[in-house]
Amino acid sequence: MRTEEVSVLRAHDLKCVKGSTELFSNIHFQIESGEALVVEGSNGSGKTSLLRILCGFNYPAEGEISWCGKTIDGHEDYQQQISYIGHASGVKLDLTVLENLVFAQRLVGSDRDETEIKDIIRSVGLFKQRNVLTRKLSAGQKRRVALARLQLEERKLWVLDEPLTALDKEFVTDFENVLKKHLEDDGMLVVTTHRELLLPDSLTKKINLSA
Amino acid sequence: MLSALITIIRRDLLVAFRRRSELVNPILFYVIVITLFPLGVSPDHEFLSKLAPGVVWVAALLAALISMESIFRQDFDDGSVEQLFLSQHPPTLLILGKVIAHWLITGLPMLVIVPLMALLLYIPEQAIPTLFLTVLIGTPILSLIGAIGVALTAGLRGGGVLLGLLVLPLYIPVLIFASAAVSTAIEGLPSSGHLAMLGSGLILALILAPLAISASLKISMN
Repeated sequence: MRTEEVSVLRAHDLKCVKGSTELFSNIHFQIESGEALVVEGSNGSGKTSLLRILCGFNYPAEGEISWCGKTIDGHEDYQQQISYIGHASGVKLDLTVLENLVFAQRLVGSDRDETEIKDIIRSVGLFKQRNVLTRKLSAGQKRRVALARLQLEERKLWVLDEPLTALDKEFVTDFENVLKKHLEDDGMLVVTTHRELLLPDSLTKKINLSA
Repeated sequence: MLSALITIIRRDLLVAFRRRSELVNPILFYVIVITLFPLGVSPDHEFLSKLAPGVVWVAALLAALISMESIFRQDFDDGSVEQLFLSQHPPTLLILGKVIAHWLITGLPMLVIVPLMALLLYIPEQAIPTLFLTVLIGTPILSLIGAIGVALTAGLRGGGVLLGLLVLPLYIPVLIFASAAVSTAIEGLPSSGHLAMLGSGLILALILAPLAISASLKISMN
């Protein structure tokens, strides 16, 4: 599924304005295959906005983002490289855990069979609840459904907005391992978090939007 | 491609089925509006059959309008809209699937119940096939146009009021041609001209609306 060549995500001189307030400006970074970018900053500093700009949902006031040397505006398959989990995680509350994942993977265009999906559900610890409506799960369990989707989609660039919210300690450790594995497989990661996330230092870049 | 279309239709139908109370709301509204007319205006046979095409279609327009909101509301709240644009498949295709699902939920029940409504309003038998056809061709147009409006207003608070103002003027051609088709059929005249206009409207909407909805969703996400 993954291409051998090195992918590069590069942001040049980004500036974001919401209404009349400037959230951030002069943001530069570059990450390559196997690298992670951790976005830090206080509440309201524009972390979510930056992530949405990266996904192409919002537009920056200035600056540009390029993927493998081509600007993402009008890039034909950039958005198909992304798995995005935002504050609203794209989980349908009126579907069961299993249904959510089955539909999600069909929409991204992969065709795993049900046993593989069940394995992933087991790995996020929701096997017993697989036929329960997501509405009835706890906040942390809903988050787990969203994170299970990541592993299903097999996309190159993971863009995660506060993925650790409501997760318990043991699962955070499991999830860190999933992230490390993703980086080892030449994946890329852009993540915001207020909690400590243990990732290999050599592969992790940090930017702070409040600075 | 086709499998993606079917997948999203199935997903939306399943979600709708799990929220049954919302499912019956528009069709109940439709039936109530039509049954109130004979009570409120006059149960007179000839008078009603003259009024009927307009009544059936005005009720259909309003029922479509109140049902529209549900097409993207939840998707905006749970973050599914973003996922539409990250899919391997073209967003316009998935959006078309969503509109089809929405029509199956709201338009199809209307189609099933409209012959009964026709009897209630003394529409003569020879006009019922035409009425059926106008609903078959007209309600998908309502869903397609309505979805553009919802996509534009979904990001706003109190978008519901704006939706009516935005969408109802665009519904008017459908109302005019559909009720005219039924009226001419009641008088025993051929109504194929009006039906052809409706049909061309449907083709136009099928081609252009998904593009407009996709662009509108992008604006609303921003």
